[in-house]
Amino acid sequence: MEAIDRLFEKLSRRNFDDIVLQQVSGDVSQVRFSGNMVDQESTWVDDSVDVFVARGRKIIAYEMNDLSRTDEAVEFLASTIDRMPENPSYGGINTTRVQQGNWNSRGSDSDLGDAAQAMIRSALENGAEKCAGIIYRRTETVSLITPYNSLSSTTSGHEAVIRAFCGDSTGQEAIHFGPGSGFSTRAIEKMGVESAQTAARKVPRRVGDPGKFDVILSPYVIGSLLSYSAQYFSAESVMAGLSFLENMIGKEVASPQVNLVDDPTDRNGIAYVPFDMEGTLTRRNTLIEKGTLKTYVHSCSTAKRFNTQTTGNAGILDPVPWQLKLLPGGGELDSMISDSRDALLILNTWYTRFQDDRNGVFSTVPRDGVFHVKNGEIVESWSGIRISDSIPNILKSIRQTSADTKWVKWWLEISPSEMPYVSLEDIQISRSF
Amino acid sequence: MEHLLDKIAAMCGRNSRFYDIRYMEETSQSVSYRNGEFQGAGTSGERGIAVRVVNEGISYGFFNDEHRAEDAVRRAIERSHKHGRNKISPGEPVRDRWSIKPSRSPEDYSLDDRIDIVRSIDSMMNDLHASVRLNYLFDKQVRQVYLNSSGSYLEGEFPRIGYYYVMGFTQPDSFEQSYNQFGITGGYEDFAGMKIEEEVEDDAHKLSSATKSAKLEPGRYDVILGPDLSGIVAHESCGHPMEYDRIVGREGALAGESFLTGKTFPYRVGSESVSVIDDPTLRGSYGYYKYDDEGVRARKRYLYKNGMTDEFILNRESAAILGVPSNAGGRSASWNYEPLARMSTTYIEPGDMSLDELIEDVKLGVYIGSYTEWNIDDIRFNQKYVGKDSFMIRNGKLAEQVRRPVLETTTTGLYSAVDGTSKDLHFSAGSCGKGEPEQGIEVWMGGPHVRLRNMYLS
Repeated sequence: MEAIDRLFEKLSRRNFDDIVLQQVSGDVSQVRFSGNMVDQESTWVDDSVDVFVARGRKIIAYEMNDLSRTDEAVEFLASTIDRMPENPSYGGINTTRVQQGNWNSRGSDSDLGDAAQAMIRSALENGAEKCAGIIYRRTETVSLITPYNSLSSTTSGHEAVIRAFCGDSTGQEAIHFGPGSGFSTRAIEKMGVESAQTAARKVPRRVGDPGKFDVILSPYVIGSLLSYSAQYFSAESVMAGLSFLENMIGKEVASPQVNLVDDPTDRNGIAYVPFDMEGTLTRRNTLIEKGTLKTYVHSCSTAKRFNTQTTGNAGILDPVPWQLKLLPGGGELDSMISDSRDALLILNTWYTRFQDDRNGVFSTVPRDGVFHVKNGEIVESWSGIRISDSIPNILKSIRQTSADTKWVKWWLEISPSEMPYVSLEDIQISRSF
Repeated sequence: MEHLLDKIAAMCGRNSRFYDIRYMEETSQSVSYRNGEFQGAGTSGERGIAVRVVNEGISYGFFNDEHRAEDAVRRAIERSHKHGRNKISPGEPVRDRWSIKPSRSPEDYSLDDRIDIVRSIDSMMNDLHASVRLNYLFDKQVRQVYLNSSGSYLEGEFPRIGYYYVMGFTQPDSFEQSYNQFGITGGYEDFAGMKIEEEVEDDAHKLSSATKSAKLEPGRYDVILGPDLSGIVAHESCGHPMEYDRIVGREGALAGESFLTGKTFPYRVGSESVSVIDDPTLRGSYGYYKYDDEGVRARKRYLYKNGMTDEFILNRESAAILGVPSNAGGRSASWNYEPLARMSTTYIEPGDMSLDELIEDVKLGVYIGSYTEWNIDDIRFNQKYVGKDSFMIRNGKLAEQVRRPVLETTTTGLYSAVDGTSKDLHFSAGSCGKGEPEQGIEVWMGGPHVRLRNMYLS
């Protein structure tokens, strides 16, 4: 019997109404490089166990990574639970039994050092003066036990990022590869080429102008803005009064070109997740359909509060989207550029911060390729600007989405997602003085 | 544990040019309330080991399972023989034990008392008519052991307590919100010193009145920054660009490089009126430590001095690139993160004026006490701060409140505009992000009131 099973047995004897045990065992390798040279290689081999127990509406969580201390944890939880105030929002966990699926898929055992060298070489051969980046390989086994279900999955995937430098100009690519997609030398060499081509583009560079502009956003930029906006789709944020989507179910929140889904069932992405923390099977949920908000994401607790069903997005109290996809349309990047009379092409962004969550007012700092497009041609590279606008206006201003998409993920800025290029009208740009 | 550390040291000692081993154990507790509803309590107990091996390259192994330790160390040793960057500043051996022993440590503090704290502040916000109230209390007790191949052996133990709230005020056609964070290295006997209730009350009144205030007419103004704002300025546009690992490009694909990359030092960044300090030895500060996470004795550092760059923030790896000893900037968020060049308590050095003296010499200006949204570009040059708690200054006196004035400027533009700093000094807490995997570490940011001349505000 595994340690997690023994822990479950011990907890079962303590009269809790709900018990959730989630054990995560990871084996992660990373190589990072800068200045065209490997900085270091790292490996993580670790185990952690999240314990959640409830008695009525009294709840408490315990997280540990030392399974020799399970007795201590059981005693603490049993002796503490009755002293907790009730949580009026707690509505239980999934009580329906679900079928264990075939959720095991281990990826290839690629040599990350060789992959890094291939990516560096491809960037340098295509005009980069120097480059920095990171490649990850992750394998994770998740085991979940509740009184109703015992589920387990083992999945693996890769993440890669490269940033190419050419003078003051930069270009960046950041892609994730899930258990169903192929991580290959060819794929990351392509990232090296594309990042270098952006950095090495030969156009005059200057500090940009403020004003309202039509903009073309890369999958990274729209991915970043939607990653930061993911919290607003959580029923928990709505209940807290910190979402511009409050009271908007069934109403228009975006332009008709916007179809946004949360799809943790797609194995092409590294955020592929077969079940949530309450033992509910995940599913593809449509969040926005032709501009209309269809649902928030829910756990069992928030669903009960909203008189609906869980969407399979628990965190027990705080549901979040797993893997967003802005669905592709019929556009093409080349025609978005050639059809623009006066627009900005923005290829990456970072440091998105909000001044007003109820109205989604934010700014973000574009980087790694900001180009001024005049009469269908890229004529300048701009620096020093911000997108200073609101998420509701961004969503409503989308006019076109491209047919091509990228599986984007980058650091803190972009959660694993699949995004197209988008073109928007009249977006506020600001700059420093 | 000693037995395991000895075993790892023996494995690394036979197979490395340099190694260090870090064992860390953390217990933590948290309690949260949302809009009057108790959300829950969490407890965490973690421990683990980080091993760094330096040969032809540098390799890390992180593990928390004794049964998998040998394999993880073997993999780290094997990978350290691959060619890569491999400079390290080994330093002199240090042997010491240090601890912060509070009279009311988090380990001895009851969950009921924690719940009372959060419930009481949530209730106070309700009495002040806040429409959005999120409150979160957390604390931790950290024990760590550090040893390396130079002969260093250190044991350290300290507690930290943090608190944050989000508070919002709604009018039919406007909304104002505030995020405020507090933190100390110490016990619950020091908790009252954070004066959270006073801050909440003051914040609530100003937020509430801001919902009814007018926007600022864009234009050029003299500006007085409050300590919260001068603190974030010090952190973002001095501390980060002075991290030497950024300057040499190691964070290039993440948070970026620095506007100082490629410059000749010392480099002028601003007026002679401005100096910025980073000091991990400030007792009670959220980022306090006696030794950093690479076993180097902490000390105060001037980052900018009289408007010029002075000393970089260094960890062992970036110090070796510069060819000097580390100045104890190596910090990691926990056992499973590498120590990077990080800030601790970063602040603009106070001057000799009073706030009244700063204000009375302003004909038309704006006082910006604190901030909501802020950001900065990846070379730490082009930055934006949206004001909270902001008032017009007319003919040397504070006048009417204004809503969300925006200061969007450059690092050299901002520091060059400084012509006076007050003698008061106030700190606020933050969680500073850096690295991959991202690691948030506890810091204080601070400063006096700072006067800037002729800045564009919108």
